This record gives sequence, structure tokens and C-alpha cells, in this order.
Amino acid sequence: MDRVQRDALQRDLARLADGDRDAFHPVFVCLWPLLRAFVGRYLPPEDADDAAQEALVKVFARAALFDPTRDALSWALGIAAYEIKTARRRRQRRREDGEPPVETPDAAAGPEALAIARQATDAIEAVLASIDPADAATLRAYASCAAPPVRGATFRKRVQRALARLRVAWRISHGRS
Amino acid sequence: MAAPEAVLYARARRAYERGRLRASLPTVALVAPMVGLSIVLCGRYTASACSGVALAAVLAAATWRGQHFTRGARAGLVAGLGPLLLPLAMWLHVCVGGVCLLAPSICVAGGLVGGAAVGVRARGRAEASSAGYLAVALAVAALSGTMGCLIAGASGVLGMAAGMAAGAAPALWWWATGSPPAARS
Repeated sequence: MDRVQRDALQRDLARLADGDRDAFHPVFVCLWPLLRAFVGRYLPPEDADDAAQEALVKVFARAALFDPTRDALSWALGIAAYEIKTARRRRQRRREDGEPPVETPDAAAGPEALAIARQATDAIEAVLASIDPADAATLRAYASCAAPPVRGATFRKRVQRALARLRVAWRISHGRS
Repeated sequence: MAAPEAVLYARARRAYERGRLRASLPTVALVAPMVGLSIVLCGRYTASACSGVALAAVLAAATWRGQHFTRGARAGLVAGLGPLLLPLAMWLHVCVGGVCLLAPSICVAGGLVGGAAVGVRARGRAEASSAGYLAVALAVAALSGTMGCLIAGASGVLGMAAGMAAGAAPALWWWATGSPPAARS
């Protein structure tokens, strides 16, 4: 996503938060491929589409509470990240209960969505490279769902701290507070 | 737009509207203490409750709709504090235990202050040229004031309404004649 699109999203989401319904369509058109690609990077295809839809619906459900001084893209991706976490927990629970995994048709993202996702991944990788390697390793382990090298609570605390440092680094490199 | 995407679009739209309604709840909740105060001090249960329900409905609709309607509702709540609290304060401090002859005149003064407050706030805003902003601001201020002026009965409410109309006259004049307010925003 380039700077112009990002500024447009910021403007449109602020208008939507104010109650301007004309901004609904541009926000939908901008966010849907973005969230689908973002969620698709971190969840298997059978869960990705549902989670992306849930994330999009939640973004709109909370749009009235969006604070225009915050970065719109980070805000929307934050909601999507929480949805990814929820979907992973649900998947984990299904496995523990011995339920068969949900079978859904292949919902591969289109070339535009893939390009957007690639850009987002590159941006995240660039920021990860700028933070402490230990924090980056913690976040990579968390994103890949690998077994944590330390106790669960310790790992969660490390993830929380690493995420806070990642946010700071992201704000510095993307020029928004 | 593909069919599943159209379904998602409609779902997102419904979620947005529900979210706006939910977001209006904290503002609507402000009505509860106002009604409670009005009932306790004025003793007119039905009238206070009816005013409260009407005020809650106007606030919910305005904050759900957004834009200048929301800003009008906020301006009306601030402006309505005068006619709501002035008569009640007079009852507390001057007229304990007796019929308060001062109350109707205080209601007129409170209405005047409330109407003037709407006018002053409208003068600094570009959206004051919108009928929605002024209508919502005056409706919210009048309904808030009604709950305070019930203490003086119908004469208090009518006096407050007349005072508010007089106080808001300049803002109404700007709107009716289309003369641009000195806009800050």
C-alpha cells in the first residue's frame, strides 16, 4: 500500500467515524483485499477467509469509535491480528477436541491481494530487522505457532514486550504516532 | 461485486450501523441522572419520564446519524445544563419547603442562557448553517431544560421555551437569512 492509498484510507475512515456514510464504500474497497491478504499470510486457507471476513466486520462495527489521530491502517491490522489469534485458538481447540478440520474450497487470494500482502510483509520484515534480534526471534516464533522455547507465561510476556517495541519501531519508520 | 462479496458488504454495513448505535449509548446514558434529578426534585414522575424518553430518543438518533447532528446534540447538552440546573439549584437553596415563585423567572433566564449558548456555539461553527445542527441542538437543550423547569410546572416550561427561543434568535436569524457565521472550523 503506497502513501497516497494510506492517506486516503486515513481520511475515509475518519469520515466514516464521523458518520459520513459516503465513505463506507471506499473504506470497504480498500480494506477487504488488504485484510484478506494479511490474514491469509498467517492462517491456513480453510480458516483465512472466515477470519478475514470477521476482521472486516469488526473493523466496521468499531469504525464509529475510531480515533482519527491514530493510524487507520495499523488500527485495522490490529483488529485483524486479534482475529488471527482468535482463529488460531479456535483451531487449537478443535484439534484438542478431536474434531475434524473444517473443509472449505480453496480461497487463494488474487494477484493484487498477493502484491499488497507482499508489500506488507516486506514492510514488517524491514521493521523486524531494525529491532533487537531476540525480539524479532520471539515474534517469528509466535507468528509461526512454533512451540515456545520458554514457559507459556514468560513467552507471552516476551511477545507482549516485543510487540510494543515493534510498534514503536513501526511508528518511527512510517512517520505516524 | 461478486455475490459473496455483496453479502459481506451488506453484513459490514449492518455491523457499522449497529456499531454506531452502540457508540451512542454512553451519550444516551447521560439522560438517566438528569431524569433522576428531575424526578427527585420536581416530583412530576410522568412528565420527567416522558421528557427523559424523548431526550434519549433524540440523542440516540442524532449520535447514530453522526456529523453535524452529533455535534448539535453535544452543543444542546451543554446548552441545556443552564435551564436544567438553574431552577433545581434555586429550589435547593432558596425555596426549600415552600412554593417557589422565583422558579418561573429562573426558568426564563435559564432558557435565555441555553438559547444564547446554542447561538454562541453555532456562531463559531461552519455546520451551523445546517438546519439539522440547530434543530438537534435546540431540541436537546429544550428537553434537558424541560426536566429542570418542571419544578415550576407548565408556566416554567413555557417560560424556558420562550427564553430559549429569544436566546437562540440570532442563530436562527443567521440560518434563515443564510448569512455566513464567522466560522472557526
